[in-house]
Amino acid sequence: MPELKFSSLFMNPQVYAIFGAAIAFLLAALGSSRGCGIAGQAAAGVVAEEPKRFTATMILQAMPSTQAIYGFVIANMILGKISGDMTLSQGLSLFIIGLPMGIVGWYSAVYQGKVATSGIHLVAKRPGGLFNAIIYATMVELFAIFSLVVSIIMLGKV
Amino acid sequence: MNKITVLGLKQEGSQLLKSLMDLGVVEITQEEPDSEICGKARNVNVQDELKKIDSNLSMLAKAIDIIDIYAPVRKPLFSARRVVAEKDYNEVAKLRDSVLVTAGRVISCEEELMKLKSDENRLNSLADSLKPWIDLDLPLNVSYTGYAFCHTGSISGSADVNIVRETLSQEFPESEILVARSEKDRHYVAVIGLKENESEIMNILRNWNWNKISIRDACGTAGETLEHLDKKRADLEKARQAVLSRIVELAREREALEVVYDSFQIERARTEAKSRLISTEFAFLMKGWLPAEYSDKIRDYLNGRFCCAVEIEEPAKDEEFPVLLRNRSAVESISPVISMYGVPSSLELDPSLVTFPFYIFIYGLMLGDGGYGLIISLITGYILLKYRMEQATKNFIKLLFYCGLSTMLAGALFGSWFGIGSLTKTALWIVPTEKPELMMSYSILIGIIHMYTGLFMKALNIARRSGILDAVFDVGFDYIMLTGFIMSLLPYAPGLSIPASSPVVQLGYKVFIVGVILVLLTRGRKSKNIFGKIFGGLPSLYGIISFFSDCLSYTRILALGLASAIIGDIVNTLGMQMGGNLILRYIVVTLILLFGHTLNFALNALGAFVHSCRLQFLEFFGKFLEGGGEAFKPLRADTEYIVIDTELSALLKSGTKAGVK
Repeated sequence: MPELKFSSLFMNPQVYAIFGAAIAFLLAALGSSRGCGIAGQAAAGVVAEEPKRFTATMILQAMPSTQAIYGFVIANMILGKISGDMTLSQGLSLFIIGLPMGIVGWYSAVYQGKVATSGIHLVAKRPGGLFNAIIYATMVELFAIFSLVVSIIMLGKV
Repeated sequence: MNKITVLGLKQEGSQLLKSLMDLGVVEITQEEPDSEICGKARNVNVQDELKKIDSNLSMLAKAIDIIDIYAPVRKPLFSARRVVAEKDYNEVAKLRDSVLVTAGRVISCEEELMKLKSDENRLNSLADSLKPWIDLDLPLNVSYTGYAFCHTGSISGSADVNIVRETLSQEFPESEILVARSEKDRHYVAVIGLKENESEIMNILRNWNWNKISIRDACGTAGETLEHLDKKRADLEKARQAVLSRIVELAREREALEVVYDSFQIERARTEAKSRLISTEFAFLMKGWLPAEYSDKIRDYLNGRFCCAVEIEEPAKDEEFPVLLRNRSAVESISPVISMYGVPSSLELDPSLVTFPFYIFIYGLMLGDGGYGLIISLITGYILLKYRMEQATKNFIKLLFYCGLSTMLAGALFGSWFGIGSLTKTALWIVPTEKPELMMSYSILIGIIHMYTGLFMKALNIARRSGILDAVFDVGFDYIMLTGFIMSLLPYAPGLSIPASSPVVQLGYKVFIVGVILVLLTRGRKSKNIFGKIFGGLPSLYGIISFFSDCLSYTRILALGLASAIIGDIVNTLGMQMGGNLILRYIVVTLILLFGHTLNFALNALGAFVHSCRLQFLEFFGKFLEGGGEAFKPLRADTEYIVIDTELSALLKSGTKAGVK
């Protein structure tokens, strides 16, 4: 077994690439957990009083989960790019590519969760408001989609 | 829309309103008497009548709700109001009073159920309080005999009952303490002794926190009482079943309840309409709006049937009137989107015709997968064929059907069918996953076409209102300026690689400058002072910036389309990676594909709907639509459960096609 030096890790392109994949998924999924979490708490509170609202509140609660999916997609695509003969700059690029998806995914999922929470309160007061609530939450989603696309376009350049 | 004014006899007023309601094409506006005739004419006060109708309505609604809970009817996914012939309706409506009695019975049934429920709760709590005493073989309802007393109660759990007993028997040998049950924090005990010693014994027991528990309603020992309670509970259950079956019996009257509910609803609308008229002792004056094509028919009908004067005239120029959007069947399906935004003003063009193709086309590009489009069209097509539904629901489903078709077109253009990679070769136009930059430029191009159409609509609106010249100044010059702007930005368009030195771009610079000068020269022309004339055009230069950001907003077409394509592709890759033996593999792969594609489909079908709406509302309508119109609300039977097929409605249908304007 060749001698493994700690410093050589910093020069290893594959490590950077995997780090990028980890960031893309990790942050996005963290955000989704948080977003679904806060929306779920509100949903449970509403359903305790109005059992009929279960489906509507569940739809809203599920909305911030998509960022984790996008993070998963980018992590997968970054991992697919890793090869034995890649250069350090390629590895670093793959690391950076994970950033937009990870950070924007995290942030947008948290805020989508907050909007979904307000939407759940809206549905509690006005049962017909589900569609409006979905529209508000979908608006936040767009930025996660953009970061997904930006990450994908950047992947095409490496 | 035409203005209608009717002057008639008061005694015929109600009948006339009823006929207008059956016709359902006249909106009656609120009129106040002029100050001149204020003493003689007034609006009829209908508050008391309305109050009475409302109380009947709420009673019927409550009865129907109760029936819904205890004798539910399975409703189909999409339902429409029942059609009832006028003859049948009149027959049921005659029985109003007896139907109201039925409703009263249903409500009293529910009250009985409530009472039974509270009785049961009482029994349950009694049974709970008896639990500690089950092992005690003493009648709980006997506190005193001729010479002795017997009390039930609790003492502190830390006390040793034997010590208590000894202490008691030392002073009062005739006393006894019996333990019914011992729990951690207390002992449930019965104390027996002579009446004359009662207060002393109680005093001693107080040292161990004696707490008297008297069980009212007990009959005999705890065991006996429980048996008795069970019997009572069975009786209650029997009574409950009886009430329930009575409700089920009454539920057969449901249709009559619904018809009468609607008949009150109709009466309410008519009474309200009555209050909008101006009445004197013998006559009334009614004003309102009606669609132009019905003018002659309504006039002829009213003149033939009633003793009244009818005047119908066109609205004055610039007069706002209620708006009724009317389009061909396909285009009408966009109305859910338009009404989400609001009703256009009566001075503007109906945006439906231009919105419809752009909406479904952009929806298709955003979802972008022909397979998903096929699913949408199949499902909605099936629903359209299978179910009868209200017009609003039907429009929405129809819109989705067209969106599905358009998504199939997009699938063919992109070669995207369920994200299957090998099919991208069949693409008729471009594969966005392979050339996302180029697709981004195309997205913006679609946006430019979309917004130019919006500007064209603006030009038409201006031309209608204040002449062609204004339209050329306000929109035509914008076209020149913006086109030059776009041409000079071409070198920055991703995926096109047009050099800055190319003749198109050079021409663009010139066109842009000409456009800016024309705008600056003409935009301030309506301003009164000299500064306004010179600098009035500056704000519209700022419009270039907002136009630019609007263009970028259209990149969401690429973003949403790419997202669905790539997630679909990943689902397929994941599915194909699965190993294992053959049968297991088929099952797992099927599950992954099914779950993954369903998720992707649901996510993106919704996203495409919302974002296609957004592009219409902000980028497109923002260019030309001011909105703020009043929707046309004719006096008609706004019912909840039934649609009455009146003889009069046939009158309007006959031969209107020739007269449509």
